[in-house]
Amino acid sequence: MATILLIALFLPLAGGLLLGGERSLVRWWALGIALVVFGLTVALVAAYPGGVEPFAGTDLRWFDEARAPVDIRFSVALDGLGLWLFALTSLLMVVAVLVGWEAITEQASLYYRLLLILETGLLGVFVARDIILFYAFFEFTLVPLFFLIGIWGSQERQYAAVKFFLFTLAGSLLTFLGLLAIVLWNYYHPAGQAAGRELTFSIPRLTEALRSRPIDPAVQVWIFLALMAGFAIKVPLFPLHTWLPLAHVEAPAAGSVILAGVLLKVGTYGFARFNLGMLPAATATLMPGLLWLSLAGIVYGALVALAQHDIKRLIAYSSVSHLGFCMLGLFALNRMGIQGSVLQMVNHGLSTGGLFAMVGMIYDRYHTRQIAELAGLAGRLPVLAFFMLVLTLSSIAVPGLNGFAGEFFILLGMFERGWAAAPAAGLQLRIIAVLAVSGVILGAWYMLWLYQRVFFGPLREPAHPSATRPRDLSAREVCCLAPLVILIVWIGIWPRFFLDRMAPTLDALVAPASRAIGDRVAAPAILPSAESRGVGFFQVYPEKPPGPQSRGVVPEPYPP
Amino acid sequence: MTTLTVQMLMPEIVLIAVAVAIYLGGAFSAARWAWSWLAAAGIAVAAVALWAQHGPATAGGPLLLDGLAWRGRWFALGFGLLFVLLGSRPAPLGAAEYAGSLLLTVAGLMLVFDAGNLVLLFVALELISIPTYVLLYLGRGDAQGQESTAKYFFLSVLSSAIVLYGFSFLYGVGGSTQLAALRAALADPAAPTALRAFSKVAVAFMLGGLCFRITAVPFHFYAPDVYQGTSYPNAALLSVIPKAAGFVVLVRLLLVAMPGMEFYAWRAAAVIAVLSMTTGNVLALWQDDLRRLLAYSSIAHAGYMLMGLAVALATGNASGSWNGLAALGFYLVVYAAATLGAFAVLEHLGRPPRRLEGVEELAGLGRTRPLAAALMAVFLLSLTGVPLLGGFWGKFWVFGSALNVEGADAAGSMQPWFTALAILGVLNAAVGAAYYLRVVAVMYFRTPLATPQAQGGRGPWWAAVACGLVVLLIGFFPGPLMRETNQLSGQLATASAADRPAEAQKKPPPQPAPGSGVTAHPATVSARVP
Repeated sequence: MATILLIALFLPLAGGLLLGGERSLVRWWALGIALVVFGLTVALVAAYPGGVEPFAGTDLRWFDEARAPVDIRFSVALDGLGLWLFALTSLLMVVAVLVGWEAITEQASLYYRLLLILETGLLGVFVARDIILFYAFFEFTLVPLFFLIGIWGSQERQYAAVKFFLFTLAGSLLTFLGLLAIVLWNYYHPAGQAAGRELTFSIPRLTEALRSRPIDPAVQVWIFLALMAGFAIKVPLFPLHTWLPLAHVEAPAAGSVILAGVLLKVGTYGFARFNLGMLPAATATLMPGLLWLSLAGIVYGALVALAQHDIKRLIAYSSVSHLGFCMLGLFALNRMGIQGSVLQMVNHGLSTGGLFAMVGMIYDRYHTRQIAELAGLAGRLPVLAFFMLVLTLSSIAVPGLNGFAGEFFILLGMFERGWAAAPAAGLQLRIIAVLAVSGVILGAWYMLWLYQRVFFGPLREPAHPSATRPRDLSAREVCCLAPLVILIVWIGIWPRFFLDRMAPTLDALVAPASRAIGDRVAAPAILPSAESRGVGFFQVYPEKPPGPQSRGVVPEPYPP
Repeated sequence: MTTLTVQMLMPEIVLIAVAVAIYLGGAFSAARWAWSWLAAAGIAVAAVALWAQHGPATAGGPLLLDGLAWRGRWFALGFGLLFVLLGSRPAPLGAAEYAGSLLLTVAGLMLVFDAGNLVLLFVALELISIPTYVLLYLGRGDAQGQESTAKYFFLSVLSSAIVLYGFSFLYGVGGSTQLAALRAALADPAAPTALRAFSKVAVAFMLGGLCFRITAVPFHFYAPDVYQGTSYPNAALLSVIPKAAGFVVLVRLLLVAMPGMEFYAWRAAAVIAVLSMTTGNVLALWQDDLRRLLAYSSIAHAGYMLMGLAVALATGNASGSWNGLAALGFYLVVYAAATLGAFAVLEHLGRPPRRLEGVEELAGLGRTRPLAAALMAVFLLSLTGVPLLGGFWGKFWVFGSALNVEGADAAGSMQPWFTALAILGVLNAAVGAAYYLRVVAVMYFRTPLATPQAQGGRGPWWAAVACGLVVLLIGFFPGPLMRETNQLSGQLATASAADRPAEAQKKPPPQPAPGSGVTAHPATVSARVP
C-alpha cells in the first residue's frame, strides 16, 4: 500500500514534468494520469483499516545521512483526517481535467502540466507527516495555481493571480515561523532535557510529545496566531477573505474547481492538524474569538452572496459562508463538531467544486456569467438544469444529500458546546450557535433564488457568438458531474461509511483541546443522555467522558 | 614568506600570474574568446592547486587556512568560473583587460578568505576593489557607464579609508595586526578598560566601511545607480563578490578578532539587517528598471544575511544545528547563484549594444523564449523563497537560526529580539515576493511585444543554466550544502564561545606592547581540523 500511495503522489508530478505535445494528445494523457491516480486512491480507501495508526506510510531520510544537521524526513502516510481530503483531491482533479477539455486552446500542454503538478502538491499536503515537508507542499501549490490563474484566467487575471499569491504567501510565511517555533520549543522544552533532546520535525512525534509536555500556554497563543495567519487566509476566515472572490472569479473553470474544492481545505486541515493537535491550551483560550470570526464569515458571506449579479461571484461568496461552517465545527472542540467539519470539507468540495464546473459549462455556452442575462434555461438545457439542481440542493443542505449531514453535525456539535458550558461562559457560545443557523436559511435563499432566476421563467439567452444553438450537456460533461452527484447522494444517505473511517483519528486529535476546555468550564451537560442522541440514519456516537482510556481508542461499536 | 606560505597561496598566485599574462598578451591580440578560455583555464589550474591542499590546514604567519577559508576559496573559484562565462562577451572595449581583471578580483576574494592579518586583509580587499574599477569602466563605454564608474570609485575609496581607519583603532587597542593576537589581547581581563572603549569605535568604523561592500543601509544608496549604469555581468559581479568579501571580513573581525564586542556588534548587525531588508524590499516595489530592481533586491538580501551574522554574534558563534554562521554561508551561496543566474539570463537576452532595461521589455517571454523565461522564473522564485528551490532553504536556515537563539546577555534575554527579527524577516520576504512576482507575471501573463534578440552569446546562457542547476539541486537536496556550512562555525580558526572564558583564564595571552608590529607577535594560529 505504501507503494501505491507513493505512485499516486508522484505519478502526476512525473506526468507534469514529462508531458508535451499537441493539445489533443496531451489532454488524454492528463486524463489518463488523473484517472489512474483516482483508481489508486479508491484502492487506498478500500484498504484503509480505520483506527488511529497511520496507513500506507513511507518514512525516508531526505537529507544527507551522515552528520545531517537537521533530520528532515520524507515521511508520508494517510490517516483519518487526510484520507477523505486526499480522495477528494484525486476525484476533483479528474473533474478539473474534463472541465477544460474544450475551453483550453492556448498553450494546452503547459496547462495540463501545471494541473498535474498542482495535483502532486495538493495530495502531498494531506499525506505529509513531516512539518517541513508539509510546508513545502503547502507553499508549492501556490506556484502552479499562480500560473493557472494568470495565464488562462479572465480579464483581471494578472491582478488576481498576483493578489492571490501575495496574500497567501504573506500569511504562510508567518505560519512557517510558527511551525519552526513548535519544533524549537519542543527541542528546548525543560521537561524534555532529561529524556535527551530530540530535534524532530515529525508531525506525529511532535503531537505526541506536546501532549505529555505542552508548550507554555502564553507562548502557545503566539504560536497559534502565527500559524493562524497562514491558515486563516487559506480558509479564508472572515476579514481575510478578500482575495477569494477575485481569484475564484478570474480563474479558469478548472482552477476554480480546485481552488474551492481543495485549496481552501488546506487551511482547515492545517487548523485541525497543527492548532488543535499541538496547541490545545491556546485553542481553548482563543476558541470564542475564532467562533465569532467563523460566524461573521457565515453571515457576511451569505449576505454578500445575496447581492451578487455574477453567478461565479455568488458561488465564491457562498464558499466563504460554507467554510465558516467548517471552522465552526472544528472549533466546537467536540467529537461531533470536528467530524461534521471534516465531512463538510468534503461536501463543500463536491458541491461547490461541481457548481464551479457547471458555471464553466454555462460560460462555455453563453460566454456570460451574469445572472440578469440568463433565464429559463431549464427548458433549453434540461440535463444541465438537473445537475445544477442536485448541486444546489446539496449546497443548501437538503436532508438526504451530503450537505445536510455535515451541517447538521456541525450545528449539533456547536449546540452541545454551548449548552455544555456554564451559563455565564456558555451564553456567547449559545448565541453563536443560534445565529449560525441563519447561515443555513440565507444559504437556501441565495442559492434557490439563483436557481429560480437562471433556470425558471421565460427563456432569455444572450446572443450567441456562434450561430448554433447551445447544446445540452455532452457525454464528457455528464461523466464529469455524475461521480460528484453519486457521492453527494451516498454521503447524504450513508455518512457513517465516511465517518467511521475518520472518527478514531479525529477523536484523538480533538481530545487534548477538548480536555483543555473541559478543565476550564466544567458544567453539566444540558443535552439529554448520550444514547438518545442518535438521530434517524445518523447514529451519532455517544460522547464518552474524557479520560485517559478514551484517548485515541476506537469508540465502542455503535448501537445496532 | 616561507615556502609553506607560498605553497598555500599557490591558487591565488596562479590566478594572478594568469591575469598578468592576459594583460600582457592583450596588448598584442584582441581575440575575444581566447582570453576567456585562458581565464577559465587559469581558474581550472588554480582549482587543481587548491585541491592539492586537501582541506583545511595549519598555517603560520599571516594566513588562516581554516574551514571557512577552505570552503570560501572553492566558492570563489566556482563563481569565478561563472563570471568568466558570463563576461565572455564583454563590451567593445578591451577583452583581455576584462578577463584579467576578473581573475584578479577572484584572487582577491580568495585572499580575503585566507587572510589572518589586518594588513593582508586590507590588501585583499583592495585587490578586489581596484580591478573592479577597471571592470566597471570596461563594461560600458558610454557616459552613463563612466558616471557609474566614477561614483563607485569615489565611494569605494572612501569606504576603504573608513575600514582602514577602523583597523588602526583595532591595532591601537590590540597592539598587533594578527587576528589571533588581537583576539587574545582583547579577551585579556587585565586590559585597561579605557583602551577597550576604543574597540567600540573600531567596530563602528569597520561596520560602516564594510556596509558599503555588502550594500547594507545606510551605505547602500550607490548600488541602484551603479548597477543601472553598468553592464549585467558587472552588476552581477558587484552583487556577489564584494558582498561575499565584506561578510567574510565582518565574520573574521567581529566574530574572531574582537571578543567582548558581541554585545554591541549583534545589536548593530540586527538594526542594520532590519533597515536593509525593509529599505531594499520597499524601494524595489517601485522600480521599473531591471538592474535597479535587482540592486534593491541585493540590498534586501544583505539584510537577511546580516540576520545570520547577528545570530552568530549573539550566540558567540555557538556551533550546532541552525547556527548563525551556517545560515549566513548557506544564504550567501543560494543568493549568489540566483542573482548571478538572473543577471545571466538578462545578459543572454539582450543584444550587445542594446541591452534589456525595463521590466516591461520582458513581456511575453514565457512564449517567445520559454526556456529563458523558465530559468528566470526559477531564479526569481528562489529569491522569493518558494519551497523546493534553493532560496527556501536559505530562508529556512536564517529564520530558523534567529528563532533558535536562546539565552541572555548583559541586557537580558535575547529571545524576544530575535523572534521579532525573524517576524520582520518573514514580513519582508512577503513584501519582496511582490516585485519578483511582478517580473514573473510580466513574463508569463502579458502578450509578447517583440521577440527579444537573444544575442548575448552562449557564455551567459551556460552560466544561467549552471546557476539554475545549482538552485534546483540545492532546492531538492540541501543536505550536503547544509552540512558543509554547518561545519563553518566549528572550524572557524579560533576557539568557540564555550571555551572562551576558560581559555582566557588558563593561559594568559602575551601582553601586547603597543607599537609592536606584526613581527613582535608571530602568533601561529592553528585551525581545528575535525
